[in-house]
Amino acid sequence: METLGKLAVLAEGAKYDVSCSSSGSAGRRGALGSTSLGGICHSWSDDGRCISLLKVLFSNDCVFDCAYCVNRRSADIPRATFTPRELADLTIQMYRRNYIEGLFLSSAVVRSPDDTMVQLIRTAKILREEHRFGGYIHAKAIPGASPSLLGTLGLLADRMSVNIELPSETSLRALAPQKSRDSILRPMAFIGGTIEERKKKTRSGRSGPVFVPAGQSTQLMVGASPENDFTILRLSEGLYRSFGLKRVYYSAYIPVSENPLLPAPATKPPMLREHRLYQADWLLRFYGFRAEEVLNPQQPDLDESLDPKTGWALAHQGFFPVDVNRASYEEILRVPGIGVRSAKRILTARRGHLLDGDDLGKLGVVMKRARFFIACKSPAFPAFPAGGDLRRLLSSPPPGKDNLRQLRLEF
Amino acid sequence: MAVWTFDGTFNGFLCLIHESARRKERPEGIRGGGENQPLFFDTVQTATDERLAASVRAALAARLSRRVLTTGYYAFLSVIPGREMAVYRYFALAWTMGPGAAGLLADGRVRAVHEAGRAVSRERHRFLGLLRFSELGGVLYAPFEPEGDILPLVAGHFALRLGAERWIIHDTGRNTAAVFENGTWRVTAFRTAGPLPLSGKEREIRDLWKRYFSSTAVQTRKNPELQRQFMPKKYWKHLPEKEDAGGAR
Repeated sequence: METLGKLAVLAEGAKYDVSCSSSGSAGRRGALGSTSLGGICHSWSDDGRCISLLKVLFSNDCVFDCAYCVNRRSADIPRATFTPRELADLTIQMYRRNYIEGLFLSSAVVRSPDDTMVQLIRTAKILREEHRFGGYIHAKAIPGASPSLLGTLGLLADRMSVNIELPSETSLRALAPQKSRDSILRPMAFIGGTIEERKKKTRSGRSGPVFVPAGQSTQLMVGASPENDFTILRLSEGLYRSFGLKRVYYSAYIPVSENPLLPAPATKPPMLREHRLYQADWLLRFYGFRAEEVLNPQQPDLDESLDPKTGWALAHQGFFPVDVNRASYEEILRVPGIGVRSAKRILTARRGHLLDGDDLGKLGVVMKRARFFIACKSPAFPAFPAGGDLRRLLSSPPPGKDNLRQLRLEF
Repeated sequence: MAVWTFDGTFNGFLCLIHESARRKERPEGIRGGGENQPLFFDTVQTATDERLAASVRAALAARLSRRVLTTGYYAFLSVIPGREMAVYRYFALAWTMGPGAAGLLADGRVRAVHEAGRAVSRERHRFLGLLRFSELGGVLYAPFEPEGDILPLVAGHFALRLGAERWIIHDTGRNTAAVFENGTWRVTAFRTAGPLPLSGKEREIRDLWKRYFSSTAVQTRKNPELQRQFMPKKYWKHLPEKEDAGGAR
């Protein structure tokens, strides 16, 4: 097969991996290429997702037969495999033209996890050593790969990821028989541990080669298996805490096969649920919330009609109003309609003078929502209207709107 | 009533600031090089001296903070009407108040400059991703039509990234280009006589990119509205992946 054909097949096989970020790696530089701390998007595909990296599989010729996966052994699809040089050259040609920020190097399991890892390492080595490529490389750790190979790939990559996909061991056993909790978590623990070790060495002044400077990430499928949002969110919280993950991605499951254990092929992917999970994830990472504050065993699923922060605020009306001219950063952050950026701006701007409602609008606060939860120099903010009305006023997006669309985070 | 004029460059603007401090006079209006001279005002013409500009720059950075200076510089490259006067007032305020002026976002003068600066910074960031080079006879060539005068803001990024290449980034609206050779870039006047022909090899690589672009989209999640929100149509003209949708040739 020619490169053009391979590219189509192998991009097709990789596109359900939602991670495409090129952020978190500062100051790498090579004869060709550099990285940018905040990451750079180069295009946006027809589904509205950012294209930053050339995201392809090295091969889709998989020996595993995970029921949820397009590339499973039993699927009747065209199979293709790049050569390391072919994929490295393709990356270089696209990078020079500023099409991409780097390579997302993933693969199905060809022959064995370690055999696959060797091919990924070869590709990354051609890029880093022959081309002295300084652009971004996101490399997949293949479940079950041996630590020494993970160690080698980690020295060439900016970010690594192992996808958990199924949020419980029961689902994993049912749908991905060749994977185990252990084969996924062990590489994660190894990568997390090695990053930590390197950081300590750097702190104590001993420098050495950088290992996965942009950290590791993972992906969880939403809606393929029966786990509730509380289980998913607690799992994410645990991953952020114990493995120091940079990102957990959530992917609304799009049925790709007929299987009694999975949603029927015509089932629409749960886009709104995915969106709410991202919002809740943001609360964990940037807003100082714990998973137990957002959800609990009595209410184990996110309310699809409310963003989770507004949901929390409505359930904790005693916490409000928050006086934006006096309250701490942490308190201000809990107000619906105030994000990290506007909270920081409030802290700076209030040093000049007492802020009123107009000022807050200019600082980027979404007053439509925030007005019910704050006190400021303007006296006239209404008290809470009766509970049900406020709920209706604050629900977003309006129920009944086509929720197949990808939504943007809006707080 | 005096309107002060300068050559339109940021260095010229810095010299104007110096002149105003020396005379202890404030301009009532400022006009850059290409604009028509108003007939009914007194005018003060200021000259540009690169060395003077460098020392003014250093003095401003020291007293105003690097952040205020950068914000002002970015706003200067924007297209808001009266940008020179706005930046002049912003610097003057920070000169009296110190670096803290940057935080006075509730002040209209400060906010206007910050917003203009942010718009330029956003546009710069956007083009770091959306600029597209084509290889034409050993040179990488990227045409674009930015709103702000951001050529000097993007050139540094590509000098780091494509340090071993020769490249030209062409602002087709302003007829200027950043030309990079032997490790340094400079901005110069630049025009091409119509669209440049692509080699077969270049076509091939474009086709690979276009194939990738269409294959990576998840069809069940199609969302052209969101795509346009991030990548408005005005940018499509020079994007190979959009050439069949009214974009590049």
